[in-house]
Amino acid sequence: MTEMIRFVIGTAFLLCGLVIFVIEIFGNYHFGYVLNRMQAASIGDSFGIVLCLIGMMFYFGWSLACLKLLFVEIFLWCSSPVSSHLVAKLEAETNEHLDREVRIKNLTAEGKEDDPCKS
Amino acid sequence: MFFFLFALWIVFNGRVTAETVLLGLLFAAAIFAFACRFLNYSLAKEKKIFVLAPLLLRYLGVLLVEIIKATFTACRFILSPTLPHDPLICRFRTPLKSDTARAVLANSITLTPGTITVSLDDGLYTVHCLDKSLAEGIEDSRFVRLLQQIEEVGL
Repeated sequence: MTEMIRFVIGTAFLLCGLVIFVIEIFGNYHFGYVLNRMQAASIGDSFGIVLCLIGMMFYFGWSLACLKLLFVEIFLWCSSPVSSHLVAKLEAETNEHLDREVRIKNLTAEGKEDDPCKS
Repeated sequence: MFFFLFALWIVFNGRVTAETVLLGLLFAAAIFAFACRFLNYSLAKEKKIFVLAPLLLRYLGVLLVEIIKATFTACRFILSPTLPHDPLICRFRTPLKSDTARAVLANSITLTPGTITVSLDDGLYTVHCLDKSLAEGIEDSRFVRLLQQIEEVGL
């Protein structure tokens, strides 16, 4: 009975993760600009993968494999933002017409006003 | 760091025997000593982690809630053919002082769907938001307030 409950909960989490990944793929084609596409991709990277790993943890039960999955999640959450940040920085620094693609706003103490791109 | 390394060793090993535990303690101690010597770690900093644990757990909880909320918001923008989105790159400063807190905030912003930290130069954040609504109050978010509390205790 416990196995059955674990299987059902695990499958539910995996299916939810799968739905998030499908939305992510759809978003990648829905948006036209690279930074917006990255936003769609980040849905799966941060939340979709968590749901899938939680689902797999339920399959494995309380074991070392479950802890391994937890460590996988910790490393993913630490490394994934770094790679996203580097790709975003590359786009912002190499696109000469960034202000045509996206509005740029300065929220620093000097005044909340629009500011041309100076990257 | 020491306990994390030891736990990592045990988990990757897959077996808990006297041999693996002893070797794990040895390797964890050696790597920790290396980190203390060359990477600016210290026993005093390790002790602070235990003091900060409740705040760090609270931060993790807030991060999880924000990720879930932002995922649904981003999904709405992706799936709705009529809902317009207004992408925005905003620049802002926060009252955070330590490099660690600033880096944690930058990582948290990127982990939250709908916002990506493009750059962090000397406390000046440049963040891309999928919609302008996601940028509201970003310079004084719950992350910033919690990180300020963590800084006060000592990060």
